[in-house]
Amino acid sequence: MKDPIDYKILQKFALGKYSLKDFKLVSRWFEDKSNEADLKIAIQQHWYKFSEDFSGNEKDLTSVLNQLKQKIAKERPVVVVLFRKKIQKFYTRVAAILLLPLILYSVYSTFQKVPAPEISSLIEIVSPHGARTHFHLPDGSQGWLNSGSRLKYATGFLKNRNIELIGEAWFDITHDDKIPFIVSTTNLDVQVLGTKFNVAAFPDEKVTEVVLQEGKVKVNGYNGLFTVDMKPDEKFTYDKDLQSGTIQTVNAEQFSSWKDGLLVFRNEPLSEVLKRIGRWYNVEFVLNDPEIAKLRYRATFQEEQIEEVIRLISLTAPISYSLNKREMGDDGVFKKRIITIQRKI
Amino acid sequence: MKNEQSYTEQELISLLRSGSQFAFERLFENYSQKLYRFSLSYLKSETESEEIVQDVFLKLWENRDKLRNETSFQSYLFTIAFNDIRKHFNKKARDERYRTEILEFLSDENPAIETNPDFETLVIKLESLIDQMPDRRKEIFRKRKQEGKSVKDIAIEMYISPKTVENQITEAMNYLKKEFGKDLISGLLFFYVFLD
Repeated sequence: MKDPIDYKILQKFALGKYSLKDFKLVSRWFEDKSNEADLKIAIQQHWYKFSEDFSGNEKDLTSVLNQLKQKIAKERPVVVVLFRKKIQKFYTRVAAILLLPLILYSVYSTFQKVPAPEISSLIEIVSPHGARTHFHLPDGSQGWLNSGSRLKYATGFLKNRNIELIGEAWFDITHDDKIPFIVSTTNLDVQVLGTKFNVAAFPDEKVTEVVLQEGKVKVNGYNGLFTVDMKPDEKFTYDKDLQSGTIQTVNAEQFSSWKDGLLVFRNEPLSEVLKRIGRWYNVEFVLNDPEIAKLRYRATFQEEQIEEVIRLISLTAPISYSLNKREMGDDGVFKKRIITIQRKI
Repeated sequence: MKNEQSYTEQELISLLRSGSQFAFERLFENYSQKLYRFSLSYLKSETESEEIVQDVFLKLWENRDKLRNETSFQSYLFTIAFNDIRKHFNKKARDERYRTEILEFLSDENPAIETNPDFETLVIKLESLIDQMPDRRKEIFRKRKQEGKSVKDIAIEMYISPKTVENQITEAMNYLKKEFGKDLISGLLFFYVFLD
Protein backbone atom coordinates (compact mmCIF):
# COMPACT_ATOMS: atom_id res chain seq x y z
CA MET A 1 0.00 0.00 0.00
CA LYS A 2 1.47 3.28 -1.09
CA ASP A 3 0.10 6.45 0.39
CA PRO A 4 1.06 9.91 -0.88
CA ILE A 5 3.27 12.05 1.28
CA ASP A 6 1.63 15.11 2.72
CA TYR A 7 4.41 17.68 2.72
CA LYS A 8 2.59 19.88 5.25
CA ILE A 9 2.36 17.11 7.82
CA LEU A 10 6.00 16.23 7.29
CA GLN A 11 6.94 19.86 7.83
CA LYS A 12 4.82 20.09 10.97
CA PHE A 13 6.49 16.95 12.21
CA ALA A 14 9.97 18.40 11.63
CA LEU A 15 8.97 21.54 13.50
CA GLY A 16 7.75 19.46 16.45
CA LYS A 17 4.04 20.26 16.12
CA TYR A 18 2.39 16.93 15.44
CA SER A 19 -0.24 14.61 16.78
CA LEU A 20 -0.31 10.86 17.28
CA LYS A 21 -2.12 10.64 13.98
CA ASP A 22 0.63 12.62 12.22
CA PHE A 23 3.30 10.52 13.86
CA LYS A 24 1.68 7.33 12.63
CA LEU A 25 1.53 8.73 9.12
CA VAL A 26 5.16 9.84 9.14
CA SER A 27 6.27 6.49 10.54
CA ARG A 28 4.45 4.74 7.74
CA TRP A 29 6.14 6.89 5.08
CA PHE A 30 9.51 6.14 6.59
CA GLU A 31 8.91 2.43 6.93
CA ASP A 32 7.34 1.71 3.57
CA LYS A 33 10.04 0.81 1.06
CA SER A 34 7.85 1.75 -1.91
CA ASN A 35 7.64 5.29 -0.57
CA GLU A 36 11.37 5.76 -0.22
CA ALA A 37 11.97 7.77 -3.38
CA ASP A 38 9.06 10.16 -2.73
CA LEU A 39 10.08 10.60 0.86
CA LYS A 40 13.63 11.36 -0.19
CA ILE A 41 12.47 14.09 -2.54
CA ALA A 42 10.24 15.64 0.12
CA ILE A 43 12.98 15.62 2.74
CA GLN A 44 15.58 16.83 0.26
CA GLN A 45 13.47 19.93 -0.38
CA HIS A 46 13.51 20.51 3.33
CA TRP A 47 17.29 20.02 3.42
CA TYR A 48 17.94 22.69 0.79
CA LYS A 49 15.57 25.14 2.47
CA PHE A 50 16.91 24.32 5.90
CA SER A 51 18.30 27.47 7.41
CA GLU A 52 21.98 27.51 8.20
CA ASP A 53 21.51 30.44 10.54
CA PHE A 54 21.11 29.17 14.07
CA SER A 55 21.39 32.68 15.52
CA GLY A 56 24.52 31.93 17.52
CA ASN A 57 22.80 29.02 19.19
CA GLU A 58 25.32 26.47 17.98
CA LYS A 59 25.56 22.99 19.35
CA ASP A 60 29.01 22.11 20.60
CA LEU A 61 30.12 19.27 18.35
CA THR A 62 33.80 19.29 19.31
CA SER A 63 33.60 15.86 20.92
CA VAL A 64 32.06 14.44 17.74
CA LEU A 65 34.92 15.89 15.70
CA ASN A 66 37.51 14.54 18.13
CA GLN A 67 36.05 11.06 17.93
CA LEU A 68 36.08 11.28 14.17
CA LYS A 69 39.73 12.34 14.20
CA GLN A 70 40.60 9.32 16.33
CA LYS A 71 38.75 6.96 14.04
CA ILE A 72 40.41 8.44 10.99
CA ALA A 73 43.84 8.28 12.60
CA LYS A 74 43.28 4.63 13.49
CA GLU A 75 42.33 3.77 9.98
CA ARG A 76 45.78 4.36 8.52
CA PRO A 77 48.21 2.01 10.30
CA VAL A 78 45.93 -0.94 9.55
CA VAL A 79 46.13 -0.22 5.85
CA VAL A 80 49.91 0.06 5.99
CA VAL A 81 50.31 -3.27 7.80
CA LEU A 82 48.15 -5.13 5.32
CA PHE A 83 50.04 -3.55 2.49
CA ARG A 84 53.39 -4.60 3.87
CA LYS A 85 52.27 -8.14 4.42
CA LYS A 86 51.11 -8.39 0.86
CA ILE A 87 54.36 -7.00 -0.45
CA GLN A 88 56.33 -9.44 1.64
CA LYS A 89 54.44 -12.40 0.30
CA PHE A 90 54.80 -11.15 -3.21
CA TYR A 91 58.52 -10.61 -2.85
CA THR A 92 59.14 -14.01 -1.31
CA ARG A 93 57.71 -15.53 -4.45
CA VAL A 94 59.55 -13.19 -6.73
CA ALA A 95 62.75 -13.81 -4.79
CA ALA A 96 62.38 -17.55 -5.18
CA ILE A 97 61.99 -17.22 -8.92
CA LEU A 98 64.81 -14.75 -9.29
CA LEU A 99 67.27 -16.50 -7.03
CA LEU A 100 68.75 -18.83 -9.63
CA PRO A 101 69.35 -16.26 -12.39
CA LEU A 102 70.72 -13.95 -9.72
CA ILE A 103 73.31 -16.51 -8.62
CA LEU A 104 74.23 -17.08 -12.25
CA TYR A 105 74.54 -13.37 -12.83
CA SER A 106 76.69 -12.79 -9.75
CA VAL A 107 79.01 -15.58 -10.82
CA TYR A 108 79.18 -14.01 -14.26
CA SER A 109 79.72 -10.48 -12.97
CA THR A 110 82.57 -11.40 -10.66
CA PHE A 111 84.54 -12.27 -13.76
CA GLN A 112 83.64 -9.01 -15.44
CA LYS A 113 85.07 -5.61 -14.63
CA VAL A 114 82.28 -3.45 -13.27
CA PRO A 115 82.91 0.28 -13.03
CA ALA A 116 82.68 1.60 -9.46
CA PRO A 117 79.45 3.50 -8.83
CA GLU A 118 79.66 7.22 -8.22
CA ILE A 119 79.97 7.70 -4.48
CA SER A 120 77.42 10.07 -3.10
CA SER A 121 78.38 11.46 0.27
CA LEU A 122 76.32 13.43 2.74
CA ILE A 123 77.14 16.93 3.83
CA GLU A 124 75.82 18.04 7.18
CA ILE A 125 75.56 21.52 8.67
CA VAL A 126 75.06 21.57 12.43
CA SER A 127 74.11 24.48 14.64
CA PRO A 128 74.89 23.63 18.27
CA HIS A 129 72.58 24.44 21.15
CA GLY A 130 72.59 28.09 22.03
CA ALA A 131 74.07 29.16 18.67
CA ARG A 132 72.80 30.29 15.27
CA THR A 133 74.66 29.36 12.12
CA HIS A 134 74.70 31.10 8.77
CA PHE A 135 74.94 28.71 5.81
CA HIS A 136 75.52 28.88 2.04
CA LEU A 137 74.43 26.14 -0.33
CA PRO A 138 76.07 25.21 -3.67
CA ASP A 139 73.15 26.69 -5.70
CA GLY A 140 73.62 30.13 -4.15
CA SER A 141 70.77 29.78 -1.67
CA GLN A 142 71.57 30.77 1.87
CA GLY A 143 69.99 31.04 5.26
CA TRP A 144 70.25 30.61 8.98
CA LEU A 145 70.15 27.47 11.03
CA ASN A 146 68.73 27.88 14.52
CA SER A 147 70.05 26.51 17.79
CA GLY A 148 70.05 22.71 18.03
CA SER A 149 69.24 22.15 14.36
CA ARG A 150 70.89 20.38 11.44
CA LEU A 151 70.74 20.34 7.64
CA LYS A 152 71.79 17.45 5.41
CA TYR A 153 72.24 17.18 1.67
CA ALA A 154 73.97 14.84 -0.74
CA THR A 155 76.78 15.77 -3.10
CA GLY A 156 74.39 15.54 -6.05
CA PHE A 157 72.56 18.52 -4.57
CA LEU A 158 72.74 20.72 -7.68
CA LYS A 159 70.80 18.13 -9.67
CA ASN A 160 67.83 17.87 -7.36
CA ARG A 161 68.15 20.64 -4.73
CA ASN A 162 66.85 18.37 -2.00
CA ILE A 163 67.77 19.13 1.59
CA GLU A 164 66.80 17.49 4.86
CA LEU A 165 66.05 19.60 7.92
CA ILE A 166 65.88 18.57 11.54
CA GLY A 167 65.00 21.59 13.68
CA GLU A 168 64.49 25.16 12.53
CA ALA A 169 65.92 27.10 9.61
CA TRP A 170 65.22 30.23 7.63
CA PHE A 171 65.83 29.96 3.89
CA ASP A 172 66.46 32.50 1.16
CA ILE A 173 66.30 30.36 -1.98
CA THR A 174 67.85 31.24 -5.33
CA HIS A 175 65.26 31.12 -8.07
CA ASP A 176 65.42 28.18 -10.48
CA ASP A 177 62.42 27.34 -12.67
CA LYS A 178 63.73 23.94 -13.66
CA ILE A 179 64.78 22.50 -10.35
CA PRO A 180 62.47 23.11 -7.42
CA PHE A 181 64.12 23.38 -4.02
CA ILE A 182 62.74 20.82 -1.58
CA VAL A 183 63.09 20.88 2.20
CA SER A 184 62.21 17.50 3.69
CA THR A 185 61.22 17.12 7.33
CA THR A 186 59.90 14.16 9.30
CA ASN A 187 56.28 14.90 8.44
CA LEU A 188 56.21 17.03 5.34
CA ASP A 189 58.04 18.49 2.34
CA VAL A 190 58.22 22.15 1.43
CA GLN A 191 58.60 22.67 -2.30
CA VAL A 192 59.73 26.06 -3.67
CA LEU A 193 61.11 27.73 -6.77
CA GLY A 194 62.65 30.78 -5.15
CA THR A 195 61.54 32.50 -1.98
CA LYS A 196 62.12 33.31 1.68
CA PHE A 197 60.57 31.16 4.36
CA ASN A 198 61.03 29.64 7.79
CA VAL A 199 60.59 25.97 8.73
CA ALA A 200 60.49 24.65 12.28
CA ALA A 201 60.47 20.85 12.51
CA PHE A 202 61.92 19.72 15.81
CA PRO A 203 61.65 15.98 16.32
CA ASP A 204 60.57 16.33 19.98
CA GLU A 205 57.72 18.68 19.16
CA LYS A 206 54.36 17.51 17.88
CA VAL A 207 53.92 20.35 15.41
CA THR A 208 55.85 21.30 12.28
CA GLU A 209 55.57 24.93 11.22
CA VAL A 210 56.19 26.59 7.88
CA VAL A 211 56.06 30.39 7.66
CA LEU A 212 56.26 32.03 4.25
CA GLN A 213 57.81 35.48 3.99
CA GLU A 214 58.02 36.02 0.23
CA GLY A 215 57.06 34.17 -2.96
CA LYS A 216 55.19 30.90 -3.10
CA VAL A 217 55.69 27.47 -1.60
CA LYS A 218 53.86 24.17 -1.73
CA VAL A 219 53.72 22.06 1.41
CA ASN A 220 53.24 18.34 0.77
CA GLY A 221 52.39 15.76 3.40
CA TYR A 222 53.83 12.30 2.95
CA ASN A 223 51.79 9.65 1.14
CA GLY A 224 49.67 12.40 -0.42
CA LEU A 225 48.15 13.17 2.98
CA PHE A 226 47.72 16.83 2.04
CA THR A 227 48.95 19.54 -0.32
CA VAL A 228 48.75 23.18 0.65
CA ASP A 229 49.74 26.20 -1.44
CA MET A 230 50.94 28.99 0.80
CA LYS A 231 50.88 32.73 0.27
CA PRO A 232 53.20 35.28 1.91
CA ASP A 233 52.55 36.02 5.58
CA GLU A 234 50.90 32.71 6.16
CA LYS A 235 51.81 30.12 8.73
CA PHE A 236 51.02 26.46 8.17
CA THR A 237 51.04 24.31 11.28
CA TYR A 238 50.94 20.53 10.97
CA ASP A 239 50.05 18.52 14.04
CA LYS A 240 51.45 15.01 13.71
CA ASP A 241 49.28 13.59 16.53
CA LEU A 242 46.04 14.88 15.06
CA GLN A 243 47.37 14.48 11.51
CA SER A 244 45.86 17.80 10.63
CA GLY A 245 47.03 21.21 9.51
CA THR A 246 45.87 24.80 9.90
CA ILE A 247 46.74 27.98 8.07
CA GLN A 248 46.93 31.32 9.83
CA THR A 249 47.78 34.80 8.69
CA VAL A 250 50.80 36.05 10.59
CA ASN A 251 53.54 38.61 10.44
CA ALA A 252 56.14 36.37 8.81
CA GLU A 253 59.18 38.42 9.76
CA GLN A 254 58.48 37.87 13.40
CA PHE A 255 59.06 34.16 12.94
CA SER A 256 62.48 34.61 11.41
CA SER A 257 63.67 37.39 13.70
CA TRP A 258 65.72 34.79 15.57
CA LYS A 259 68.28 34.90 12.76
CA ASP A 260 68.97 38.55 13.58
CA GLY A 261 69.53 37.77 17.21
CA LEU A 262 66.08 38.95 18.22
CA LEU A 263 63.41 37.08 20.11
CA VAL A 264 60.07 38.60 19.18
CA PHE A 265 56.75 37.67 20.73
CA ARG A 266 53.48 39.19 19.64
CA ASN A 267 50.46 38.19 21.68
CA GLU A 268 51.71 34.65 22.20
CA PRO A 269 50.86 32.35 25.10
CA LEU A 270 53.50 31.85 27.76
CA SER A 271 53.80 28.17 26.84
CA GLU A 272 54.93 29.18 23.34
CA VAL A 273 57.20 31.94 24.67
CA LEU A 274 58.96 29.54 27.01
CA LYS A 275 59.32 26.90 24.32
CA ARG A 276 61.15 29.32 22.07
CA ILE A 277 63.27 30.81 24.84
CA GLY A 278 64.17 27.28 25.93
CA ARG A 279 65.32 26.40 22.44
CA TRP A 280 67.25 29.64 22.17
CA TYR A 281 69.17 29.36 25.42
CA ASN A 282 69.19 25.57 25.64
CA VAL A 283 67.31 25.43 28.91
CA GLU A 284 64.28 23.43 29.93
CA PHE A 285 61.23 25.03 31.48
CA VAL A 286 58.89 23.28 33.88
CA LEU A 287 55.43 24.83 33.92
CA ASN A 288 52.63 22.82 35.48
CA ASP A 289 49.94 25.47 35.72
CA PRO A 290 47.70 25.41 32.64
CA GLU A 291 46.15 28.77 33.55
CA ILE A 292 49.53 30.49 33.53
CA ALA A 293 50.47 28.79 30.28
CA LYS A 294 47.65 30.69 28.58
CA LEU A 295 48.88 34.18 29.60
CA ARG A 296 49.67 36.22 26.50
CA TYR A 297 52.93 38.04 25.92
CA ARG A 298 54.23 40.85 23.80
CA ALA A 299 57.97 41.35 24.06
CA THR A 300 61.23 41.70 22.14
CA PHE A 301 64.54 40.50 23.52
CA GLN A 302 67.94 41.13 22.01
CA GLU A 303 71.15 39.38 23.02
CA GLU A 304 70.15 39.18 26.66
CA GLN A 305 71.27 36.71 29.32
CA ILE A 306 68.70 34.03 30.14
CA GLU A 307 68.50 35.26 33.75
CA GLU A 308 67.65 38.75 32.53
CA VAL A 309 65.02 37.48 30.07
CA ILE A 310 63.23 35.39 32.66
CA ARG A 311 63.44 38.21 35.21
CA LEU A 312 61.77 40.60 32.73
CA ILE A 313 58.99 38.12 32.04
CA SER A 314 58.31 37.62 35.72
CA LEU A 315 58.02 41.40 36.20
CA THR A 316 55.09 41.62 33.81
CA ALA A 317 53.14 38.54 34.86
CA PRO A 318 51.98 36.98 38.14
CA ILE A 319 54.69 34.34 38.04
CA SER A 320 57.79 33.53 40.01
CA TYR A 321 60.65 31.31 38.93
CA SER A 322 63.48 29.28 40.35
CA LEU A 323 66.72 28.61 38.53
CA ASN A 324 67.96 25.13 39.33
CA LYS A 325 71.61 24.19 39.27
CA ARG A 326 72.68 22.17 36.27
CA GLU A 327 72.88 18.52 37.11
CA MET A 328 75.55 16.13 35.97
CA GLY A 329 74.19 13.20 33.94
CA ASP A 330 75.39 9.59 34.22
CA ASP A 331 77.67 10.15 31.28
CA GLY A 332 79.47 13.00 33.06
CA VAL A 333 77.92 15.63 30.82
CA PHE A 334 75.90 18.48 32.26
CA LYS A 335 72.20 18.22 31.59
CA LYS A 336 70.08 21.13 30.42
CA ARG A 337 69.43 23.74 33.03
CA ILE A 338 65.90 23.47 34.41
CA ILE A 339 63.85 26.56 35.25
CA THR A 340 60.63 26.07 37.20
CA ILE A 341 57.80 28.54 36.73
CA GLN A 342 54.96 28.90 39.20
CA ARG A 343 52.13 31.23 40.04
CA LYS A 344 53.17 34.10 42.28
CA ILE A 345 51.55 33.70 45.69
CA MET B 1 37.84 31.19 12.71
CA LYS B 2 38.99 34.54 11.49
CA ASN B 3 42.57 33.74 10.76
CA GLU B 4 42.06 30.71 8.67
CA GLN B 5 42.41 31.11 4.99
CA SER B 6 39.09 30.50 3.34
CA TYR B 7 39.13 27.80 0.72
CA THR B 8 36.36 27.39 -1.77
CA GLU B 9 34.24 24.31 -1.37
CA GLN B 10 35.64 22.99 -4.64
CA GLU B 11 39.20 23.26 -3.30
CA LEU B 12 38.24 21.62 -0.04
CA ILE B 13 36.61 18.73 -1.84
CA SER B 14 39.58 18.09 -4.07
CA LEU B 15 41.84 18.32 -0.99
CA LEU B 16 39.60 15.86 0.81
CA ARG B 17 39.75 13.51 -2.13
CA SER B 18 43.52 13.41 -1.76
CA GLY B 19 43.08 12.54 1.92
CA SER B 20 43.52 15.92 3.58
CA GLN B 21 42.34 15.89 7.15
CA PHE B 22 42.58 19.65 7.12
CA ALA B 23 39.91 19.84 4.41
CA PHE B 24 37.85 17.26 6.27
CA GLU B 25 37.80 19.48 9.35
CA ARG B 26 36.85 22.57 7.35
CA LEU B 27 33.94 20.69 5.79
CA PHE B 28 32.92 19.50 9.22
CA GLU B 29 32.92 23.11 10.41
CA ASN B 30 30.81 24.15 7.44
CA TYR B 31 28.19 21.43 7.57
CA SER B 32 28.05 19.77 10.98
CA GLN B 33 25.67 22.31 12.52
CA LYS B 34 23.21 22.11 9.66
CA LEU B 35 23.37 18.34 9.66
CA TYR B 36 22.85 18.19 13.41
CA ARG B 37 19.82 20.50 13.41
CA PHE B 38 18.36 18.74 10.41
CA SER B 39 18.67 15.29 12.01
CA LEU B 40 17.28 16.64 15.26
CA SER B 41 14.15 17.85 13.51
CA TYR B 42 13.32 14.28 12.48
CA LEU B 43 14.78 12.18 15.26
CA LYS B 44 13.99 14.47 18.21
CA SER B 45 17.01 13.13 20.06
CA GLU B 46 20.28 15.00 20.65
CA THR B 47 22.38 11.87 21.10
CA GLU B 48 21.01 10.23 17.99
CA SER B 49 21.52 13.41 15.99
CA GLU B 50 25.14 13.55 17.12
CA GLU B 51 25.49 9.94 16.02
CA ILE B 52 24.15 10.88 12.61
CA VAL B 53 26.72 13.69 12.28
CA GLN B 54 29.52 11.32 13.22
CA ASP B 55 28.28 8.58 10.96
CA VAL B 56 27.79 10.80 7.94
CA PHE B 57 31.23 12.36 8.23
CA LEU B 58 32.88 9.01 8.78
CA LYS B 59 31.23 7.69 5.62
CA LEU B 60 32.27 10.87 3.83
CA TRP B 61 35.88 10.17 4.83
CA GLU B 62 35.74 6.51 3.90
CA ASN B 63 34.28 7.30 0.49
CA ARG B 64 36.32 10.45 -0.14
CA ASP B 65 37.79 9.07 -3.37
CA LYS B 66 34.31 8.80 -4.84
CA LEU B 67 33.56 12.51 -4.43
CA ARG B 68 33.06 14.40 -7.65
CA ASN B 69 32.43 18.14 -7.49
CA GLU B 70 30.71 20.88 -5.59
CA THR B 71 27.23 20.53 -7.07
CA SER B 72 26.96 16.93 -6.06
CA PHE B 73 28.56 17.43 -2.65
CA GLN B 74 25.47 18.83 -0.93
CA SER B 75 23.26 16.13 -2.39
CA TYR B 76 25.87 13.48 -1.61
CA LEU B 77 25.94 14.61 2.01
CA PHE B 78 22.16 14.62 2.06
CA THR B 79 21.89 11.11 0.63
CA ILE B 80 24.11 9.63 3.33
CA ALA B 81 22.22 11.61 5.97
CA PHE B 82 18.82 10.59 4.62
CA ASN B 83 19.62 6.88 4.67
CA ASP B 84 20.98 7.20 8.20
CA ILE B 85 18.04 9.20 9.47
CA ARG B 86 15.63 6.73 7.89
CA LYS B 87 17.33 3.80 9.59
CA HIS B 88 17.33 5.53 12.98
CA PHE B 89 13.78 6.70 12.55
CA ASN B 90 12.45 3.22 11.80
CA LYS B 91 14.25 1.74 14.77
CA LYS B 92 12.87 4.49 16.96
CA ALA B 93 9.35 4.04 15.65
CA ARG B 94 9.59 0.33 16.48
CA ASP B 95 10.76 1.12 20.01
CA GLU B 96 7.95 3.64 20.37
CA ARG B 97 5.32 1.27 19.09
CA TYR B 98 4.01 0.21 22.49
CA ARG B 99 3.49 3.84 23.45
CA THR B 100 1.59 4.68 20.27
CA GLU B 101 -0.47 1.54 20.73
CA ILE B 102 -1.42 2.48 24.27
CA LEU B 103 -2.24 6.04 23.23
CA GLU B 104 -4.27 4.74 20.32
CA PHE B 105 -6.18 2.46 22.64
CA LEU B 106 -6.86 5.40 24.96
CA SER B 107 -8.01 7.53 22.06
CA ASP B 108 -10.97 5.19 21.50
CA GLU B 109 -12.50 6.85 24.49
CA ASN B 110 -10.90 10.26 24.04
CA PRO B 111 -10.54 10.95 20.31
CA ALA B 112 -8.74 14.20 21.13
CA ILE B 113 -5.65 12.16 22.05
CA GLU B 114 -5.15 11.26 18.44
CA THR B 115 -5.35 14.80 17.11
CA ASN B 116 -3.71 16.63 19.98
CA PRO B 117 -0.90 18.53 18.25
CA ASP B 118 1.58 17.90 21.02
CA PHE B 119 2.30 14.23 20.70
CA GLU B 120 5.67 14.63 22.43
CA THR B 121 4.06 15.90 25.61
CA LEU B 122 1.54 13.08 25.56
CA VAL B 123 4.37 10.56 25.42
CA ILE B 124 6.15 12.20 28.33
CA LYS B 125 2.88 12.19 30.28
CA LEU B 126 2.31 8.52 29.50
CA GLU B 127 5.80 7.60 30.66
CA SER B 128 5.46 9.50 33.90
CA LEU B 129 2.08 7.88 34.57
CA ILE B 130 3.55 4.41 34.00
CA ASP B 131 6.38 5.34 36.31
CA GLN B 132 3.97 6.27 39.05
CA MET B 133 2.34 2.83 39.11
CA PRO B 134 3.07 0.49 42.04
CA ASP B 135 6.34 -1.40 41.35
CA ARG B 136 4.82 -4.82 40.75
CA ARG B 137 2.10 -3.53 38.44
CA LYS B 138 4.64 -1.45 36.57
CA GLU B 139 6.88 -4.48 36.08
CA ILE B 140 4.06 -6.64 34.74
CA PHE B 141 2.76 -3.82 32.54
CA ARG B 142 6.17 -3.15 30.98
CA LYS B 143 6.88 -6.83 30.37
CA ARG B 144 3.58 -7.17 28.57
CA LYS B 145 3.43 -3.91 26.62
CA GLN B 146 7.03 -2.81 26.17
CA GLU B 147 8.79 -6.14 25.87
CA GLY B 148 5.78 -7.86 24.29
CA LYS B 149 5.91 -10.99 26.44
CA SER B 150 2.88 -13.26 26.66
CA VAL B 151 0.69 -13.39 29.76
CA LYS B 152 1.70 -17.01 30.27
CA ASP B 153 5.43 -16.28 30.12
CA ILE B 154 5.12 -13.41 32.56
CA ALA B 155 3.17 -15.64 34.95
CA ILE B 156 5.89 -18.31 34.88
CA GLU B 157 8.67 -15.74 35.18
CA MET B 158 7.14 -14.04 38.21
CA TYR B 159 5.66 -17.13 39.95
CA ILE B 160 2.10 -15.79 39.77
CA SER B 161 -1.10 -16.99 38.09
CA PRO B 162 -1.96 -15.81 34.56
CA LYS B 163 -5.16 -14.42 36.03
CA THR B 164 -3.16 -12.09 38.29
CA VAL B 165 -1.15 -10.88 35.30
CA GLU B 166 -4.31 -10.09 33.38
CA ASN B 167 -5.87 -8.31 36.35
CA GLN B 168 -2.81 -6.15 36.84
CA ILE B 169 -2.78 -5.12 33.19
CA THR B 170 -6.49 -4.28 33.23
CA GLU B 171 -5.93 -2.23 36.37
CA ALA B 172 -3.05 -0.41 34.74
CA MET B 173 -5.03 0.42 31.63
CA ASN B 174 -7.99 1.68 33.66
CA TYR B 175 -5.66 3.89 35.64
CA LEU B 176 -4.20 5.36 32.47
CA LYS B 177 -7.66 5.95 31.00
CA LYS B 178 -8.75 7.76 34.14
CA GLU B 179 -5.63 9.90 34.36
CA PHE B 180 -5.69 10.82 30.69
CA GLY B 181 -9.39 11.73 30.96
CA LYS B 182 -8.56 14.07 33.79
CA ASP B 183 -5.60 15.56 32.08
CA LEU B 184 -7.23 16.03 28.78
CA ILE B 185 -9.60 18.72 30.00
CA SER B 186 -6.78 20.82 31.38
CA GLY B 187 -4.55 19.66 28.55
CA LEU B 188 -6.93 20.76 25.85
CA LEU B 189 -7.45 24.05 27.58
CA PHE B 190 -3.72 24.51 27.51
CA PHE B 191 -3.53 23.92 23.77
CA TYR B 192 -6.41 26.18 22.95
CA VAL B 193 -4.92 28.99 24.95
CA PHE B 194 -1.36 28.70 23.74
CA LEU B 195 -1.59 27.55 20.16
CA ASP B 196 -2.62 29.96 17.43
